[in-house]
Amino acid sequence: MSTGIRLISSSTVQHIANAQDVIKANDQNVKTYQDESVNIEIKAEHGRLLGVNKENIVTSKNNVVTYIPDEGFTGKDKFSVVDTEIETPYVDELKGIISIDIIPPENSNLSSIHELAVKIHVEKNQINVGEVQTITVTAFDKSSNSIALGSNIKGKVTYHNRDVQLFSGSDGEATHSWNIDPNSDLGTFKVSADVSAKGYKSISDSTTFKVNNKGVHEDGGPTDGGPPTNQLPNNPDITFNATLSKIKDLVPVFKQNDLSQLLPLAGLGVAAIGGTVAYGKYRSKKSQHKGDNVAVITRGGIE
Amino acid sequence: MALPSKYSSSDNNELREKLKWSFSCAIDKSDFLKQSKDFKAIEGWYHQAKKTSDDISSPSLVSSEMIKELLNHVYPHYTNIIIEKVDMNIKSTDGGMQSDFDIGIVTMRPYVEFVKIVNGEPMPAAKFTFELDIRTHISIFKAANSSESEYIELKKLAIELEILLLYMPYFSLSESIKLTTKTFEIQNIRLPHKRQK
Repeated sequence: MSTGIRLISSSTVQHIANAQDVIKANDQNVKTYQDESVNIEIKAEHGRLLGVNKENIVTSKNNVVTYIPDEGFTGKDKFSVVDTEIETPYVDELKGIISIDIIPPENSNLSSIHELAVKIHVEKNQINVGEVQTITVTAFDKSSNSIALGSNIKGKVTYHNRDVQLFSGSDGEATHSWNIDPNSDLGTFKVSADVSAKGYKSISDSTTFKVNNKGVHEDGGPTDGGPPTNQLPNNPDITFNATLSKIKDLVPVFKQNDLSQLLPLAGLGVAAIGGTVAYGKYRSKKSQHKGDNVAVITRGGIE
Repeated sequence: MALPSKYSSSDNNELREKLKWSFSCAIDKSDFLKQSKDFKAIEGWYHQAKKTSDDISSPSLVSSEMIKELLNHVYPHYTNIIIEKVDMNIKSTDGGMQSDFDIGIVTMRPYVEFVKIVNGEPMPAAKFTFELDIRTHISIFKAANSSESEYIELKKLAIELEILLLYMPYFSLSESIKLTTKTFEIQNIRLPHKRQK
């Protein structure tokens, strides 16, 4: 028989800023066992938690934790809950992290809350191990389209929910560069950013990039020279996989532009993808042969 | 002693799952092991072989392979020891009423080897050797002669497990490193009466 940990809350529940909402953690979601002592670690991004120690371990009886949002904070906050007995817990983002909405107290003036927009620029959508990656996050005032000075940005790069890089910035911009470790994991890395500012509703966004072995992209295309094949040539933030939603999100940013101007670019992008697929087919035979030269086997026993 | 009416004997999957969880804690929680050059070097082999883990709980292929190998060898070895001890206990009471009893400390040294094969030629193996010290307390349901049954029904199996790292392939350890200690119980466990091969 096994049980785990569950946060009793709901993304549909709206919480009043500065009110003391109770979040209970017991049963389900983080896989652990009922008959063992479990250290539950809970973190909030934009508020204080009562019932936890300095290391964010839940100390209160029955795992009841009280959450007090930061003064003036509105927007989304999230809680990550892990069993600290294991460094890479059996949780994914859907199960181990729960989001809630913090809305202003009833007596506050809703019209004084402004909206933010965030833009995440990843220099190389596909990158080789050993190369330098640069990420720039910019926060805008959605109504004026100008940089939201005074806003705070917290960003991170994750691989399979494991933090790889953390960065932050103030005054509406955060830039972070680092060298991709030669022994780095390969595959899709996620860049996410949370932006908050006084008087603004907080906002989060994310994008991804891929880390490849030197020489060959995952799709078989070349790694050196030219922009990634799935990017628009004059707007590297927009990937084709997410073109429609990103265009929707970025409408305020492209305020002066007619969306129809993007359509020819979309055509170019489709042509570029077609070309890449053809080139990828040619390259994949070669890379597959190279990959077949190395294999790893495991074996074990009892001495 | 009759079995409780609500008794539904679990098979030994729970024991397997708990051993897996213990190995996972031991390996994934060990920064020393995961940050070691030995570990990184083998991760590099997998990168060259273009293999990555699809196991969300162990994103590192080295970790997940290590856990899998440990489990594949420790689990049958340990269950055979339990079966042997229970058999001895049943025989000593001539099939009569059994009382709870402790198995002394069982020590075993499982190892996991990684072998890189280049152009069909195997390179020298990279071997990690562990030590498991296991204390086990057993409560038995049945007083009847279990030799007639295909299974041994245990009321409770209480286990205290310590996992140590003894040797690494390249880095020389001056002394063993304790990776984790786990204590857990399993209720209503069923083990095959005959020994596993």
